[in-house]
Amino acid sequence: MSKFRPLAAFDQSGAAPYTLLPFRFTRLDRDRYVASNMAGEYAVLDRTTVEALVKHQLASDTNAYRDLASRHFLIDADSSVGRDLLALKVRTRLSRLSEFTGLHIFVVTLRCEHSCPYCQVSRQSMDTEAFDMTLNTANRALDLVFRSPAPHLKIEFQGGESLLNFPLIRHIIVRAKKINAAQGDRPLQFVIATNLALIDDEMLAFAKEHDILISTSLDGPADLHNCNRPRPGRDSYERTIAGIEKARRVLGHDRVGALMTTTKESLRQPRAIIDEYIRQGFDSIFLRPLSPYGFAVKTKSYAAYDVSSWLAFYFKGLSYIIELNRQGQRFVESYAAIILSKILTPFSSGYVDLGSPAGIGIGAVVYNYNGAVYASDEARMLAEMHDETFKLGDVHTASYEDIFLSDRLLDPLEESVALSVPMCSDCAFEPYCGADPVFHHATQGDYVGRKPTSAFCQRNMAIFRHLIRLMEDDPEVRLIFRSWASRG
Amino acid sequence: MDTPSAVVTFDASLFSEETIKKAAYTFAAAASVDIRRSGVEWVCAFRFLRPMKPEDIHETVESFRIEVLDQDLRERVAAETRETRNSILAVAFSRTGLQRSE
Ligand code: SF4
Repeated sequence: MSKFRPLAAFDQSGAAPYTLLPFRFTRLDRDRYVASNMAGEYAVLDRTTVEALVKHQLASDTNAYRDLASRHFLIDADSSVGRDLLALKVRTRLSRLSEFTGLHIFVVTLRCEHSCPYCQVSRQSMDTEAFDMTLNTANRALDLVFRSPAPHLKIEFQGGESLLNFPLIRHIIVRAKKINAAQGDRPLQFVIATNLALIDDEMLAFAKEHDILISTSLDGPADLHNCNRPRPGRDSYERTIAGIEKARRVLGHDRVGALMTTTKESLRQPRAIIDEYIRQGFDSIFLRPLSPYGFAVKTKSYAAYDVSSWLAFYFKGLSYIIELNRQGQRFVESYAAIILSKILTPFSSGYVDLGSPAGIGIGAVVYNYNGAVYASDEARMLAEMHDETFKLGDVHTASYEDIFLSDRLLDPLEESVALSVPMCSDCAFEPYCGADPVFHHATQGDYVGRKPTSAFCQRNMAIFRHLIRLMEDDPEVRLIFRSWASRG
Repeated sequence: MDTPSAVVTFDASLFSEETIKKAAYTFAAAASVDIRRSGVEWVCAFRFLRPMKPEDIHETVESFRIEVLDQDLRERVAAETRETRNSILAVAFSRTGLQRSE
């Protein structure tokens, strides 16, 4: 697709009259720039070409001109449909917005038998009354779920350890299916997020009957996982692995996914973590940054390493995964896949953290155990630190309209649209980036944040540059990334 | 220890205040930049936030010069494409239901 354009690629003597279409450009490295249009199509150019393009000096008989015209960076007399086509493509990218709130997260209990130091929300208490969602709260939340106009619905159960309140999960699933059937049967999916330590045959039989996906936590090899996730008996890893095997036997291999949490200890061992995922038969890993919320901040585990050490970890891991792919092992890094699908395909991802407008409330909504409704999982974690900025209402007292048309949701959405934010508005990576008002509120005190000093911006900009450079410099990597993009 | 500083000037007849300000903003993680008009020039005084080697200061100042030139090109693109951009956005957002009904 895009190639580095040498100086000789254009000839100013044949400069043609053309009109520019909106585009942005940002330095890729010392000599190259990334230019992107509103639909997210990009080209890598040298500075001379950028300057010639802007100053209307690009000759029409050059490859650079033809490329930029075909990718909607300019229009001339021969490309009168360019503007309409671009508008259509932008609309396709934004179509996620009209699929309002597909993911509904139910926090069915805060109780947990683990005591992970970075966890913001769990309680060791066995007091079910204090920390479990009640039947009444669940029913009210379900009413809200089915008011959502989303064409697909996904209900995810989280905790604490969600299986400690399995009877409620059972109730919600049965009731949700009944309501859905009466409403015309939208595609409806269920996910249980669990550490698997407590899973038993009865739960698995139910999960099989209702086609439920399992999402578990695997932080890496036994030492690392057990160090991250203390529980009585120090056997979190052994229980997780046994649980994964058991769940796969009953539900099928692909019905069990895993997520990792990155801690300071993880940073030294990206390869060992990836090898563990491969050993356990997974075909992807999501190399996640540590969240800045809750205990992670209180216990200083967020401050314990900065963005650049996380990036070093990420790039090392990514390079190892690319090497594995070159050797024929098909394995995907999921964060890269989400970004690559934005860069290489016309589809926008539903990934909440990389949405602009932000994914909060639109991509996902959280019903806490006590009935409080939050704009995202991070918003709920922030609330655990006594910051209720993103609490949208309460299932017991608020209507659907109160919640989804509240200023608490619409203000951060409007203010943080990256298209209009200082620095983002000029950034070529904006079509691939997000707004994340919850992160910026938590770390910088306002929805928009100051992007030059934002860890979110620093991290993502470095990743965008890295991925584009890798693709530009190595055709084999481009092929590998294309295959990832189709999964992102 | 004093943190290092540097001064960069630009011809005020060629570059707008907006251009200089936007370019300076992108350097906020490295330095605070004081911008003043002095006769026919913009004078940008950098005060770096951390100690830096002279070659790194030189490189940062050079990047700033390029950033100002780039920002100037961006202003031109923005001015030429403003209308198109707005009409494309109006079409793109028209069916999202995101507009607030007052
Ligand atoms: S947050 Fe940073 S990388 Fe993302 S669009 Fe804004 S300036 Fe670009």
